[in-house]
Amino acid sequence: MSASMTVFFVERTGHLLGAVTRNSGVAPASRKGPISEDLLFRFKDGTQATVSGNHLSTLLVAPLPEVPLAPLDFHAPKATDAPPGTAPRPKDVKRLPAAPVSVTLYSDGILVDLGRFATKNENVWILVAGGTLAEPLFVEGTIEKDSQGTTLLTPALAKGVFYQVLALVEDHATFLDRLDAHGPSPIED
Amino acid sequence: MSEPIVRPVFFEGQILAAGDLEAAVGHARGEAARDRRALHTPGIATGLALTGKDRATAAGEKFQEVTLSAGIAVDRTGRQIVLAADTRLDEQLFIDQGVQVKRDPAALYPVFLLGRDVQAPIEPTAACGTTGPTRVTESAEIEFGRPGAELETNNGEPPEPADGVADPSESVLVGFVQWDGRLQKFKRAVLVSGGIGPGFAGALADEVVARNGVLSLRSRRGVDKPALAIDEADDGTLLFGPQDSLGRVVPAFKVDAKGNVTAQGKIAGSAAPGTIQAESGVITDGLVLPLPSGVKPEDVAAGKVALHVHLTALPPGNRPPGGDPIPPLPAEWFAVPLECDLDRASRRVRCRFRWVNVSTLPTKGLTFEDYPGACNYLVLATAPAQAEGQP
Repeated sequence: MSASMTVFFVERTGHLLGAVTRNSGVAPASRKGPISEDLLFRFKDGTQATVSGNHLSTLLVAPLPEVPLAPLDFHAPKATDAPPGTAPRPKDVKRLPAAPVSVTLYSDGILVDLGRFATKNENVWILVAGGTLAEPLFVEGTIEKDSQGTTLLTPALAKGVFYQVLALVEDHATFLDRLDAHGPSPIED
Repeated sequence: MSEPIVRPVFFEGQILAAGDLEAAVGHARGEAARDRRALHTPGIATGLALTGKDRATAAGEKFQEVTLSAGIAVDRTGRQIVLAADTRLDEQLFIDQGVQVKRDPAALYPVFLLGRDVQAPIEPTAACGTTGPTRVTESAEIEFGRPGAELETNNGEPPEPADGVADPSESVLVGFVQWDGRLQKFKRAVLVSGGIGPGFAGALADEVVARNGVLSLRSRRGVDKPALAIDEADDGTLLFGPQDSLGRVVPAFKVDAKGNVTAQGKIAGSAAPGTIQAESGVITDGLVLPLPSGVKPEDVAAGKVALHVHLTALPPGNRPPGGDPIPPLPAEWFAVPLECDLDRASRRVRCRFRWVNVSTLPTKGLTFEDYPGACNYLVLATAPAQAEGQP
């Protein structure tokens, strides 16, 4: 009997948020979300947010020792030739590409910028917590093909106040930082 | 209350009347019936299979010819009912008994077997002075019931202890038929309707003792059919598994006289009293600790299972998660465990490290950041053994 590892990932983007190995090898099968378990995500300053199982899926894979130590460095990618959101994920986890994203908070939205034009539609999932928020804020969207980024509208964020932000863009490195909100987002033509 | 049992006795030179001989026969029949009802449960003892064969009318319309095979049943009073030959179910009898529910063409009608004594006609060749029949036929009659009549079998008051053979017998269910009212023929025969089907005779016993040292229970005789055996060989073993071609149990599960258990498969299910089940591995901060296989969260919550949890922070390497890339190292870090424990209420693991940046010491002093980490876990689930005398 060999050990197994269950990874918990954001269904929309594939980014891992947690992992658990079982030396008994007896583990529940992979489940496409929503799942029944939630997950407590904690930021560097201790701010915490419960990520509901509605956002999550699980995969049962062979254990990789580095994954439980740094799950945010890994993702469960989709099949490369499948349109986004259509293909099942292979039973595999991989280290995320070193493709950073930049995030800017505005009082009325969040700008996610790839720094280059997207070659395909890229799903976005963002968690904002702390600051003036009594409850964590979950925002989802898409960066469309041939665009460089997107601005996702949010409930009001207080200008000048710092928030903890976890921003995940499909096939891009995890963004995790503390940001202060600027004034209203620039109006796009 | 029934009368005491009377057994006929005879003396030398006695002139025997018909009643004396009848009492002798009746006593034997009554004793056999009392044995059967006291030591067995009612039902089919052998045969009595209800089957349908596809047939078609001259116009090509399909129906079934339904047959009840020969066999023996025992009713609740202990009366033996013997159907001596395969018997085709009579459509006219079905019509005559008037059980049809015309508004429900899918209705299933129970088929019963009933034992009845029928006096044979006086034989023309009988001796002069013969005033009555000299034989009784123990007939087995097929009857039909209205849908739902199967629920009424084996009800009512049981016979008194001294009661003899009942005549007629009680009804024994042998299956169901569906009726085609237009063709006036049976559509099909089925054994079970609404979860109710023919019962098979069983045994009433508080002790069963084998005579050759092996006591067996079988689902039926046949290769690969499951069986259970208590075998006194090797100081005694309990065996469960499929039967081989000689009817021997091929053990998939075995318990010896010392209590050693050998199982070919996994033993699962809730933690049994006195057992320990374990799980171990690595888990990241914020996840719910897994339970050993077969341990139910509700049993843990109810206190039926106690958890013993050991967590050890897992050395996180030489840089924070998602921190400065290596090589080259623009900063030097070391980590110390900040917390590594379990929220008992939610069973959620809490594990964080404080990452200290040594590189900032000359300019800003030591700076640090706190990151979630991972820990090794060991979970033992124990179900306390009940002390003797406790429920």
